[in-house]
Amino acid sequence: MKILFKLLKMSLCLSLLLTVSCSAQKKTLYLYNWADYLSPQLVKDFEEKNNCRVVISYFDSNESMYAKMKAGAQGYDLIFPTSYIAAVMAKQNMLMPLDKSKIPNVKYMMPDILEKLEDSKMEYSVPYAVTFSGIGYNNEVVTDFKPSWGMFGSKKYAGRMTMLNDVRQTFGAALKYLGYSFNSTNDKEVEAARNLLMEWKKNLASFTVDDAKLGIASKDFMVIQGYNGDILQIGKEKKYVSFSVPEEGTALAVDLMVIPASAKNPELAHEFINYMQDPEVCAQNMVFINYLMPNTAAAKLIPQELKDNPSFMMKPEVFQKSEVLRDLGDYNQTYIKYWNLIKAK
Amino acid sequence: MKKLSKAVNEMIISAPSLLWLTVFFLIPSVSVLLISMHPADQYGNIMSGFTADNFRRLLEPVYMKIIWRTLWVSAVSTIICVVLAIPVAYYMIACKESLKKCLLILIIVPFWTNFLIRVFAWKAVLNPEGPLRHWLIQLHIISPDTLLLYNPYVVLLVIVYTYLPFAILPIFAAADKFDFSLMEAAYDLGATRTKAFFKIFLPGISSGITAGTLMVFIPALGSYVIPEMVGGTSCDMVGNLIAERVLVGRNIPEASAWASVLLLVILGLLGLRLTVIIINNFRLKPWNNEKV
Amino acid sequence: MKKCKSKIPFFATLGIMLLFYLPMLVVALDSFNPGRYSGSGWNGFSMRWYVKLVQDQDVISALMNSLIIGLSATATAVVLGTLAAFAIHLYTDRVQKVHRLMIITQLGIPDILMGISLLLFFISLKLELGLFTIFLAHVTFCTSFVAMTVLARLQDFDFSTVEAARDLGAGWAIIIRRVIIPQIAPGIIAGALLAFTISIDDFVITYFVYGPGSTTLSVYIYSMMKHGTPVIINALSVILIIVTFIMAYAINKLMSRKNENIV
Repeated sequence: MKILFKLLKMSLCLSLLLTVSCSAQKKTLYLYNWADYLSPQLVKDFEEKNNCRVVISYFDSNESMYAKMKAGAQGYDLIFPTSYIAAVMAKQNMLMPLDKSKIPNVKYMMPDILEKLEDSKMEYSVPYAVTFSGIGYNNEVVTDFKPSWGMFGSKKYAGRMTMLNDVRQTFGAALKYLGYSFNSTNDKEVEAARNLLMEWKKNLASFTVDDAKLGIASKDFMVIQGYNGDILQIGKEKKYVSFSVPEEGTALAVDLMVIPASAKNPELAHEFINYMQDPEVCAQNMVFINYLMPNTAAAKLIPQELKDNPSFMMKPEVFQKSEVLRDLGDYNQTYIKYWNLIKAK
Repeated sequence: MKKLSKAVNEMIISAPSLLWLTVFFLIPSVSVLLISMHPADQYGNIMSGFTADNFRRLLEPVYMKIIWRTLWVSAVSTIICVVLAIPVAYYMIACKESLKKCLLILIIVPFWTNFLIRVFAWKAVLNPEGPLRHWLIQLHIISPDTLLLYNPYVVLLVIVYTYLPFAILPIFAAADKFDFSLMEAAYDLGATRTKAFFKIFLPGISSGITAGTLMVFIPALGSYVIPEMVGGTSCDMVGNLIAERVLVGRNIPEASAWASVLLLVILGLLGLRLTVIIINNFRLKPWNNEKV
Repeated sequence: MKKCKSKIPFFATLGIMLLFYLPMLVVALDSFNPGRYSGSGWNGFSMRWYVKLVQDQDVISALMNSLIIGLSATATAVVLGTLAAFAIHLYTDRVQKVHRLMIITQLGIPDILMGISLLLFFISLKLELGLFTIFLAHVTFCTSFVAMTVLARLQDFDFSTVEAARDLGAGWAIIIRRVIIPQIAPGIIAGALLAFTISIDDFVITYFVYGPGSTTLSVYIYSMMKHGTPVIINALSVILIIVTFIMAYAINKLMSRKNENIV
């Protein structure tokens, strides 16, 4: 018995020592972000500049991030949600108001993007990047590619296609194909979209975000629904991967940087937000992640070929047909109900 | 006086573990049952007030498919595991001591290897661009259109692979204790090998078979990682529902309702086993006396 | 002993051994293949992924977390489990019957139920999810494993040695240290190794109750499977498999010291 207690004491002391020593080190900034969405080099530079450590955890859908936060995950200092879910989080008092004096670089924010957002005054969020979804495909195998959401209905590539694991993105694709709005709250339209998705589902291998990226690079998948920057990143390495925005239009989403109310290091978080909006840093990040960051000064610093790439900056005609993803309030329940139905069958 | 100190002793010895299990096992399980009776709002908050809605929702036809799938996948994989485990156990007990130990380690190692890695290993083997699929297509065993991954049969395969050691070990333990002179006696009395196998050996290791069955069936019922990783879009099982409702769907009460139902089913099965053991004890006693 | 007359058992065993080890063989081969994606064919032998593995800061910190939790949870579980085994073995009143029932039920519950119940419990207590909550969860299931292992050892324990020591006038402290512990030590150590292995391996329960910065090895492997370079997992798997072999061998040796009873 004594030996057992001795062992127990030793182990507890050991573990306490380790945990204490770990935290007695430099300050740590905890980020909660999408994968492949932040240049690791810039993170390292930030760590050096501020003598701290940055730990990044990943999520692959706004819903799962929200569920984890709701379930009481504390300790994240900075999160990168999409605007519509950030609005929900703000309503639920999950976010900390921003101290503008600590983030002077937000003066570079593009006003025309800002005005489209719920938090146009940047009270609790600062825009990070503009994303839109589309179709990634293997240009060697899929020779009959049509820039249309209808690709997911083609039996030819059954089992080699995936769509995003996101209720809004999948429904949105179906809605757009049928000619409706991405943000539809019309029962008939949403039901029709649901039925279409059930048909498409028969051709899909799975609903996934990150697996799809790996899959299209490793040739497991031929056609995937994905975000523009992600697929551009892969396309740089693997020339057989191309991206295309469907002609029916798509949804524009703006991802934001927010500080949760339970953040342990809000000052460091503010520091990071300001750092990301420094024009040089911002431009470097844009080149890495291949997404547009709405910073006017940084936009001048990125290479012209990137600016001309329609997968980076949407062409005006497509922009016309696309909408910004909005929160649907109570109607969300209907979407979720149908989504569950689809995933269950 | 002696009795009092004995009771005190007992309390001191059993208190730590009893308390811990009560706080971290009993109470959380009860709280799952309690939460399943509360409604949730669309923002994921658990509201006050009681409702049977969550349970009512479980009976929707769409979920019937998932329940059925969970049941048949678990049942079939259990049967396969037990059927495979019996000959393996039979072989092992007939072996030399050293070989027996060696085989035991060989079986335990996969059992203890990180479970995710084992699932990942199957994804590597069944990869659409991998050699296995190419060979099978060349040998005309499968058509070029079939994918080896993302269907319920792969889920079945990986579940069998994951839980087979759970079946082998208890069946082996029971077979090890089995008195083979009974088989000899049966042969002497003119029984064929098959008859002796089915009428004497199998009932003799029935406790091991029951243990093995439960040790595969119950975890299989609750599997969620396997269907998620290799199952694709149409292979969700109850475990996936629970995980999804908690981790993504902002509906913790509904997840709790599913969890409560699963919990009750499992407790029922365990309770059944307990009753069977008690009945068996009654049956064996007079039988043993006869033998002596 | 009896002889196997039919060939079925032999082939069944062979088949199953192949089934068990085929995927691991593929993983081991892949770990030496420098190609980034599984479908790119054999690109020659390379230790590239092993090198990358040791350099990966996130893997190291995940491993550290797993070790911290493994060691502390095992230590606590050993104390709780051994006491529990003694209580159940020595006393047979209703309380112990319930005690034993709780342990067996806890062992039987699927991970996902444990995970969700503990998560809900921690939420209602407003406990911050992190290393501590993972620790609490791990102790809970490890205790049952230790208890069952020690209990199995206790079945063969000869209490007459304790009686003899008492007759010779030894006090309880000495009896515990010199008579009881040495005899059941193999069981305790085996239980500890078992608990440690189960704790390191655990994924589902940890995934539900972990928080920012408290990623364990299993959780990290899962997130690597979803977003990183999954090929590194091959190298990690090979190392883990080798460690598991060593553990299994050690436990087997310990448990079969007195009798030929294994597990």
